[in-house]
Amino acid sequence: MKGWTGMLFAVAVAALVAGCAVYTPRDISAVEDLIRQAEAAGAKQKAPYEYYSAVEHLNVSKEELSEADDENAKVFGEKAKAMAEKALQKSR
Amino acid sequence: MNLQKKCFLVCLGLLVLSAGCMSTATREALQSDYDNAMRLFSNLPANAKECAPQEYAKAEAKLAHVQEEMGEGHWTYAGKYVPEADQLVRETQAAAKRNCPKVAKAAPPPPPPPVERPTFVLDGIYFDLDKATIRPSSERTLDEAGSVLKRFTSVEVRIDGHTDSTGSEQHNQGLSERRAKAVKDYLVRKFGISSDRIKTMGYGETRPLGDNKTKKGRQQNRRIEFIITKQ
Repeated sequence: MKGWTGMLFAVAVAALVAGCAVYTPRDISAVEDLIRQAEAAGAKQKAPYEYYSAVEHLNVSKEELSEADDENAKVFGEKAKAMAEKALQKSR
Repeated sequence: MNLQKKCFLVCLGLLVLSAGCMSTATREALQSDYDNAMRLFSNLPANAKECAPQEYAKAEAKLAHVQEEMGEGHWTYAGKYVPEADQLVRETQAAAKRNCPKVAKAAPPPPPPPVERPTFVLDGIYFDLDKATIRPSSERTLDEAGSVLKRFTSVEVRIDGHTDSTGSEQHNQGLSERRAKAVKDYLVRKFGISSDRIKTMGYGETRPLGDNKTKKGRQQNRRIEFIITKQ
């Protein structure tokens, strides 16, 4: 019974966490890393729109995070990540 | 606590309360400024993304930010960001003008004919003075409107409430909103119209039809309008 209770608790916590839009400074750092890689690959010249779009969306994401709006921080952070990946791909 | 401290705390409280509020007129002005910026942005040259990439990306991200804030009803933030977005779009326009080679543009298609949104004042809806309770004598008029909505199930409407200028602007704003909502509630309750099909809006005393100095004008101004938003 004790095992079952523990498992149910874990499932409930997992369900709760899955519903939340958690976005952290660590996520921001990961995107910053991608942007740095893109820049090093020459994205400013080879994929300027994608590069600057990543930078600008990340700026908005940081702003939202500082205002404790996790959900919007995540929306803009993910857009920044997608654009940084595109910039990197185009520059390789 | 001395009087000066009390006054300071009261003022601070009022400031905090008023910071979260924004009048309907201001919200409409913001929405209109945002729409203008969007229009300007979508009219940028097709190659602006290539020849002014940095400016373009900045403007695009800011517009998306504004849209998100307005969508969530964060009008205070929107008020801060809309002018920034507008400025960035103008900078992109200037950069595109400088950097983009001119491309032969196909003649734009003719604009679609303007969509007519029939608006009509429902004559004969009366409220008790300074109240949002519909008088029984108004029910006949409302029942006619309700029957039409029940018959034509695809029609969607917006109910606008208006007041005359008697009383404070803030009071009239609230009163017009409550009256428009009272009309909606009546139609939903009596005719089973889905509440999704009826939106309400209060304009307070901001859109007078008649002269507020005369009794007749004031009567004209205290009105409920129906706007068909979808036919």
